[in-house]
Amino acid sequence: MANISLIMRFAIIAIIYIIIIFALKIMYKDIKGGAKQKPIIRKSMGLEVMERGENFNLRVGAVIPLNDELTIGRKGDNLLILGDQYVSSQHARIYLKNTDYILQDLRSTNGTLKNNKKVNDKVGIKKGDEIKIGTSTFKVIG
Amino acid sequence: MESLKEERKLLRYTYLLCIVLFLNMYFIGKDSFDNGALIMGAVICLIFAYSHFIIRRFFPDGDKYILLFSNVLAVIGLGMLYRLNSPNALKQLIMYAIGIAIFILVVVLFPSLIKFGKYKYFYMICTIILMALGSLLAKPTYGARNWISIAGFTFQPSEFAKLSLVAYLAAALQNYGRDTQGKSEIIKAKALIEPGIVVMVSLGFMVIQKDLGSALLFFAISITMVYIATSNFKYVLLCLGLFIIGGFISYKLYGHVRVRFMTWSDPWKYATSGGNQVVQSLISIASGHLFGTGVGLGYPKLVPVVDSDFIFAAICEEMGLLMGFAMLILYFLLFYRCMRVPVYSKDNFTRLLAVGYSTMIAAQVLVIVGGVVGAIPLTGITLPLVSYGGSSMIITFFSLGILQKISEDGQSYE
Amino acid sequence: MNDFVNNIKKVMLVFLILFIALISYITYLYMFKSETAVASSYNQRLWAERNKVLRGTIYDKDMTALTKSTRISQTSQKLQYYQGAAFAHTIGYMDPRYGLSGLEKKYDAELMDDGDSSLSKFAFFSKDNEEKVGKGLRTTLDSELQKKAYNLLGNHRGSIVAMNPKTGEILAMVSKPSYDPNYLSRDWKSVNSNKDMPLLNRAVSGLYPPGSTFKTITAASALKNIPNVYNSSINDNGSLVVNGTRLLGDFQGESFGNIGFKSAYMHSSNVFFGSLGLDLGNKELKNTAEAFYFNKHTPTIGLTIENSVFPSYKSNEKGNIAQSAIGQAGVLVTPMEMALVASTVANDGIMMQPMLVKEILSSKGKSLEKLQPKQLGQVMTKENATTMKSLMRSVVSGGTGKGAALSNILVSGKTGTADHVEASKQEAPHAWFTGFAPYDDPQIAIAVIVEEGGQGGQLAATITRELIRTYLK
Repeated sequence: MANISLIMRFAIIAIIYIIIIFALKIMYKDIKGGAKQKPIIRKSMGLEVMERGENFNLRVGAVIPLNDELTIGRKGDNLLILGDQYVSSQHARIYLKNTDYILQDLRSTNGTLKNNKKVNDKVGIKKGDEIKIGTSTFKVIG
Repeated sequence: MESLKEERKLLRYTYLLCIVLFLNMYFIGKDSFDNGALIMGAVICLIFAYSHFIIRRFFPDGDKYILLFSNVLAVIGLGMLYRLNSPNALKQLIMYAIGIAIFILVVVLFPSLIKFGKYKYFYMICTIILMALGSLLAKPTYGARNWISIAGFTFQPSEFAKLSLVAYLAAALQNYGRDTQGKSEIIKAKALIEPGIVVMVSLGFMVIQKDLGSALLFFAISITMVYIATSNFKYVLLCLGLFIIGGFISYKLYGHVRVRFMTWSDPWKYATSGGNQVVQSLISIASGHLFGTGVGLGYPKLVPVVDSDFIFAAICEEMGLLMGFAMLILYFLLFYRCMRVPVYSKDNFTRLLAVGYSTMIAAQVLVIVGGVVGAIPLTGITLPLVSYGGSSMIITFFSLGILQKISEDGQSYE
Repeated sequence: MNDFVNNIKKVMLVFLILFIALISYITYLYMFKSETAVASSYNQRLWAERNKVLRGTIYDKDMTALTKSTRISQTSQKLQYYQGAAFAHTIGYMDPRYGLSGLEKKYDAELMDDGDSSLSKFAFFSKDNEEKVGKGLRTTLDSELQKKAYNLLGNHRGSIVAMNPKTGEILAMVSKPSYDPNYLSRDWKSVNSNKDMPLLNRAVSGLYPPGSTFKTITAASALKNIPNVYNSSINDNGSLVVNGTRLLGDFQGESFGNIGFKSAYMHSSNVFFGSLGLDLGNKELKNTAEAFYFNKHTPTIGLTIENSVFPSYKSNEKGNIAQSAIGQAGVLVTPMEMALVASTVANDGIMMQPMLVKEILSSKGKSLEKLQPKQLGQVMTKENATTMKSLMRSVVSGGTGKGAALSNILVSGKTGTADHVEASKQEAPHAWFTGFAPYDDPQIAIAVIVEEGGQGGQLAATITRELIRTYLK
């Protein structure tokens, strides 16, 4: 009865080596692909201006590209400067995490809205989302 | 999504391995068919399926293969342990479940690890306390003075100290590159003094506690981390030199070091005394040939301490040398995936932390397997994920969890 | 950042090398050291395997059991040897502490093999709680003859080998002093320190000077190489002198005067045969000896025979050459070899392969394999063999071997009184007798040596007589 092990030992070894071969194939693909691939996937996404509100520097239909990070606020060192009174000096930022963009509200006075819901700290955004900061509204495109 | 297919394939084969292994044990049960084996196999499959599912579902950004490879190794270990000693296998199963739980908790609960880089002194104090605990409270077991009993569970504080030491080194070395950019050699060397002292003190503790294996391990980890942080090969040579001097001194000073070396140089000569373990281990491995004797048909129990330190010998005897090689390959693949993590990480602290824990696991494998086959002197280290031992399982899964978390935080994957 | 990645790659490379080194080391160990490891005495696995199966029984030629094994625990068994010391050297023993010897060692694989090669081993539903028993061995031994031989040696040291000249079957093989294998652990120390070496199987491992029994081979060689030697004669005045040196002399100063081939053999004239040796030369005599399997390994079934020795001498070593022709100088034989010599003469010059086992049986007694007698070669022509047969008959009927004569059976043989020096002390010579019976259609060939037994024509011859009487009654 115990002699069944005599047959099964071959099965066990076969299975483990199948696992190893698959693993090696995957690793090999990974190494090859990794050389060409940069850590950042450039998904070309952007914010399209839907309503400019009281921010006269915006044009409706303009697209602000999203790269690694987009800082939004009233202060001049932001990438996207919104002058209206409802916008805080450092209002929000949109940054890339792995393959997704995250919208982070930087404790702004009047808050940030995504699809008309208030953003608490961080939230992921995807194509088609509507973002409202101050009196301006943007749509995520990509 | 292509990778999901591949992961699923690996997962399926892991299920198959688990099923075949425990089915085998079902049939070789002592008096009749062993139902316990089937239950055990099923539970294990459930646990690792669940773990993979959770990680995949909620944390899709990190590395999947770390968990997959770890599970394959754990399955082999649990299988062999069940054959050797069913009650212990049950305890190991519980430890495995706890380990996986810790793994998941680390990934879920810990905030971004970058923040943890600030607590250098905390880690240093932890390390020293844990090492000292070992010396103060320990009762000698198996020749090493570093096991403590609390509430019926024995554990080794020096094992946990390894974790905090790596954290300390990562914290201490993270700014090396930045701080010493373009500065003179002396300043570069000075920056290393504090970590150097901490490492040497820890090594000292370990030698006193007769835990030579851990000392070797710490040393390997420290050298690797220093090299990664400083990119300076000279320091590596310096450390090696210090190690040889230290080894020489302890050889002269301590009888137990001499004994280990003598029995290593010719185990057959000391086959009835100190060399007995290695001799029996070699005989066991040789008896298995390439394909093993078949589960349950060999005599692994003739090897002492076979369920923890020498479990590799038992696996080679019953499942074959090919299985032994396969395990080594798997450990290396696991190491490879772990080392991939720091490449994609943004922050020096997490990078060094990742390197440290990866090296810890890989070096452990080399040291214990080396000792078991007589390539290097024997030490009392466990084979991670496979040896019977709660603290080993927990610490390994904790480190793997940290690695997984770092891979989560890192930049784009896939 | 790239710096960092490079460092990581270097570290990975280092570890890869270390892992590969480890795998290579293990491979090297396996390829070169695994056999010694498995064969090492520290490996208890073989004993565990041996004890899994109840050891098979060894029987004599009439299927009377000579051993019995009983299981004590799951990992050990006890072996009983019914006939004790008389059969100790042939059967041997099996003991975890002292190892294996004899047939227990030679046929270890069969005795521990339950022969279950059927696929039922792999069946899912069989339960293995039946006691597994090893295969059995049917030896060629005749229990009555063996016991008789053992008793006939009395308190003397020595050995007796009796075989069937037509088949090579060993009917009896005795070595004294012996030991009782039933009491190995009790007696081990005394047995090992006994200077008479009871553990030695003198029949196949004891090497003795054959003395005059070797003249059979010298005669055979002369018949082959010297034309018309049968009709030759010399003047035996008691000493063989060549170039003024006395090379040898007849026993106890005898001299035979004018003596021919047949007479010289009957009365064992050293001078005649010594001079035959000189005529033949070392090379021819050695060739004949080697035809009888001197200096080389004798194939057997179930035995390991120490090689008998016939040395090479340079042509100017006249003393040695002459002495070797009468079975002294550097000539050494096992009792088994001398039995084979007698057996070959009795079997018309054909030497048969000595066999101790005739059949291998399953644990239930079914015959698995019948081992067949085998010819080792035509060592002498039938004609010469017939001549030798009649010479050996005359030794018993009218020569030095009268002590072996029986009233109703025609016994043939040759006596031997071998001088030997132990620890540079001249001891009493060994007493030899080799022979066969009956003359027409021989059934048994025997070699007897009684260490320090004196003249071969006395004790050794009478022992042979009694053995033949027992066997052929």
